[in-house]
Amino acid sequence: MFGGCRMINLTIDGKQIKINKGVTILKAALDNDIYIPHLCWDHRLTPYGGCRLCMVEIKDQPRLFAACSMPAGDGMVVYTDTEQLRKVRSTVVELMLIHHPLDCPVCDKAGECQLQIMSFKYGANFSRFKGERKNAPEDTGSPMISRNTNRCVLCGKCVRVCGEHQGVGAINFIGRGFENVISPAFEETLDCEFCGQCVDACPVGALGSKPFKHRARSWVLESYDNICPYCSVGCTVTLDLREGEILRSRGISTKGINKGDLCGKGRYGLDFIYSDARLKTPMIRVDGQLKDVSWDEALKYIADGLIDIKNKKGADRIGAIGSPRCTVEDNYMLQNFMRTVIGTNNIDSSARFGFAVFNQAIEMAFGIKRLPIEMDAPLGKNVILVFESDVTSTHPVWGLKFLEAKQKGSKLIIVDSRETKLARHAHMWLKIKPGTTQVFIYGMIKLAYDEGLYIKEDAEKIENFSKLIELVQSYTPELVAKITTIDKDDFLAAASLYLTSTSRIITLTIAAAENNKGFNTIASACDLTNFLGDGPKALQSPAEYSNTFGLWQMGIAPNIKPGGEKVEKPGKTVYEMLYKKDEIDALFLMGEDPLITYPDLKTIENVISGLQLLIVQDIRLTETAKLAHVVLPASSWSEKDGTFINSMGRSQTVRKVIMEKGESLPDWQILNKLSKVMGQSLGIDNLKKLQSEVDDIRIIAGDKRLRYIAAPYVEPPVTAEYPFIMVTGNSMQHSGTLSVMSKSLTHVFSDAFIQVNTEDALKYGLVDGSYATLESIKGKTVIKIRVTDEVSPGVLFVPVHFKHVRVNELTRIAEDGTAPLALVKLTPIK
Amino acid sequence: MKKHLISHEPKVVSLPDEKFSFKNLLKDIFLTEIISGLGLTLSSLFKKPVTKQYPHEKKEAKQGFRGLHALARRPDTGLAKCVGCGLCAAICPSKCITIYTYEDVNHDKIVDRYELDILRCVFCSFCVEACPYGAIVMTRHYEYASYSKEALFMTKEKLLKNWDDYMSDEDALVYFKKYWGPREEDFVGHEGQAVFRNNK
Repeated sequence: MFGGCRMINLTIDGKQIKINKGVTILKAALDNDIYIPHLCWDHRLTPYGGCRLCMVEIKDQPRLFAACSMPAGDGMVVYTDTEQLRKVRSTVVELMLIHHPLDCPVCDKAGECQLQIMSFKYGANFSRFKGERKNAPEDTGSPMISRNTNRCVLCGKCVRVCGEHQGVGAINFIGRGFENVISPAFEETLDCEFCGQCVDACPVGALGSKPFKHRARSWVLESYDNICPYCSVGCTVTLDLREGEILRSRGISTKGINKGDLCGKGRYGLDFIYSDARLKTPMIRVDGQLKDVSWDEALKYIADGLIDIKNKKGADRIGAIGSPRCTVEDNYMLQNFMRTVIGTNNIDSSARFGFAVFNQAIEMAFGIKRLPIEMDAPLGKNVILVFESDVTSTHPVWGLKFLEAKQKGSKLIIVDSRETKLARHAHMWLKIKPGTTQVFIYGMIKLAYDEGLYIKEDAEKIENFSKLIELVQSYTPELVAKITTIDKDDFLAAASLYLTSTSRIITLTIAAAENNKGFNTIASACDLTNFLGDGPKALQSPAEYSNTFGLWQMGIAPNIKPGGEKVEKPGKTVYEMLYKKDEIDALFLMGEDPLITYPDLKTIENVISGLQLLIVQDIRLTETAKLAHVVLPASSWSEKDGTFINSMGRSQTVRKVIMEKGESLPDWQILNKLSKVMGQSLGIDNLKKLQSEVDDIRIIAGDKRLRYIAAPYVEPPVTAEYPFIMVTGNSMQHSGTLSVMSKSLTHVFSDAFIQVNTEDALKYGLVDGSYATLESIKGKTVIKIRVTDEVSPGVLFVPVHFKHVRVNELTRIAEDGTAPLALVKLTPIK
Repeated sequence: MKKHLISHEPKVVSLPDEKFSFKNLLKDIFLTEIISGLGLTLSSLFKKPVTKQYPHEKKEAKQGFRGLHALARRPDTGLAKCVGCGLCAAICPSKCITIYTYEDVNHDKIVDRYELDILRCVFCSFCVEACPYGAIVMTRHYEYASYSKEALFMTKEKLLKNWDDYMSDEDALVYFKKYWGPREEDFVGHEGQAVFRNNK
């Protein structure tokens, strides 16, 4: 960017510094532990030079320079703290204080306010200037962010973080001169995605977090770092506690892989641990009612039940489901318990619908067992192609890297049926018919083959070459345009842009909540990477939840052991355990709620209610727990020590920072106790022993043999009765059963909704905000309509996590590898 | 020399023998010393006592005396002046003040609980000096010894009651203004100084 990596030397405050050419003086100083005061500078943003606090003196230069925007020069001699500079800074602070109200006693920023620190440091306690103090009312209407324009120093950090970095642009400067304020358009109440990045960026108390408002002074808080429990990016969140209660979380620019970035879930959604629905004691069903019992009674009841089933019907009649929300240790313990104490491989998780599919595909295509993503993968790529994935919703902080890459010159092509945030920023947004990504990719392979845009020798060496070519032959641009409903020229433009670029990546996510991709989709993406010879790294597909990657590594699957070794006699998968009647008699659910998050839940409900023994171990009384025979309270995230493995394959320690709720215990301890009660101790007495056992797991690499999978595309059946294709997924604020427990996040969205295109709304008489019956072949539900242009005509989008609207009653599973899209109809309720 | 200093032997000191005299003999026989002592006692009976007869006779606290804590009320609303800035709790050397605040329906900062453990207080009155609004004061009241810890654990309600009981009369307000007066008023300052609040 700044012309190569030539190193230059300069002296700052007598310290010799060697840095890359083009780096600003401020960055050079901060990297070398020299502090230059600043208000408007942020490491994520381009230099602005608004606050003038970072002024420095450069030897032999008559005037002062702003360190944040002045590139360091070779042989420069810089002074950051001289008599003149102190005087200048004092004046700057004095000028800022003309308008700033001195309401520090009621301002939540007091104690960590940069302006307060600066005025303390540079002693501007005397004002030579007189000006009117603003007395504008505070904007308290928005659910997460309170805006007090009186305190604003107009550094513009929030505006730039929101627009430049977050890609939203919800706020900007409005008015001129003394009337200049930071405000949403038309001075309305803030209604954005509520990521809260502006709140953390604000150096004064102008933007504040609503849930934290007036709850504690900053200096009484204790800070602990932890790993966010939501998605698989694994951001480091700094939790601020008062008297053992988490009051807020922040991202700190020097910590973790996120370097200060957090999404709305990480910033506001962590109060799920204080949900009223949390379980406190073990419960057993007596006469149809769940009754509180002691741990001893509950464990005895489970042990008796499991031993009885094992002896009478065999260990194969017992199954278990692990959780991507639980730690590595918990999941290791669960599979250890099932395989050693029970003696069965019937163990699986929700990763079956997502991460397992991905892993199956990469093993077939690349011969590898794990394919972690890279945090900086989008940066420096010429072309980034995203298929039917809303990365900024599912993996928000990783999604920011796509925006950053786009700003730094990468071409961003989004192929999606919905207008996602990335689509709004993309160079090219191709509106694809849901579930037809595979056709798009095969069309690209065909194009590359015809045009010779591939390395012939390398591509032909790979197994199944002729099979692939035979398969893609029919996918001419015309056919692709017909199936995907993308304009032929657009397809050709996007495809040739991708095929002719030198560095490129494909991104797509696959998860239980997303029904527009299946095994075949991933397989075709693998085929394309193989065909173009880009290597597996060109396919970036992140795991779903915080520990999905770890769960997979711990062998929570019927066919693999911890580390990836194949099991001789595979057990039953989720498809058999939950979707087929009379396969198992007892089910142990650890931290999963299939009756909300799994597709086709009517079938699951039928299967589960026929079970002899259903044990649910969770942090709250889930929908499934309401049917359970035994409910065990587990300690939540932040209440136990453990490890999460993020989607980059990085193990990160999760700390215990607060007390366990009620009598709850960490999941691994419950399983350890249970194995003892069942008379078969696993020999694990403490977490250290368990962790050393986990550390000893040998991770198996694959044979690294490349193959083409060449899965055929199957056209989904179309019926006139069900005219809509329903796409399920995550919303920006909700990503499963955790986020709906959070009080703060439900302030933004608490009700399920379905997005309908304006055209369709007119056609079927659907009014925004009204309710309609949503019906598929599987079942029906009532849902709120949201009319929008974000979805294409004929497509509906719905988040699946709200328990009162059981959207998953309408969805289906697809074991054949196709995308399990649901066809539905919407009828307005009169 | 050094050695000598360390290990000196204890000396037996004997009083010199008193010389026998006729005068001393008479003293011993007629107990004159005792009689003169009794005389002094007798004479004191008719003099004005020097000590305060505490439970019956109480001393007025001097100006600036650091007695029982109280939370000042706002004259206009009658509510506590305290805004919950927490400076008193921050400066308190024995950390005996804890403040809990919340946001009310009008989005104002409301002091939910103001707790002060008098048994841990060292009566330094830093809290009073730190308070920008003169919201916490020390009254002249000092008679609050108790057998229970609860009675000496001050809550917001108790502290406000202390204000009503000991600081609401005219006399006490003068005392309050003079010694624990709100700093806020001092912030008007000289011409050209940055004002503390929005003085319209």
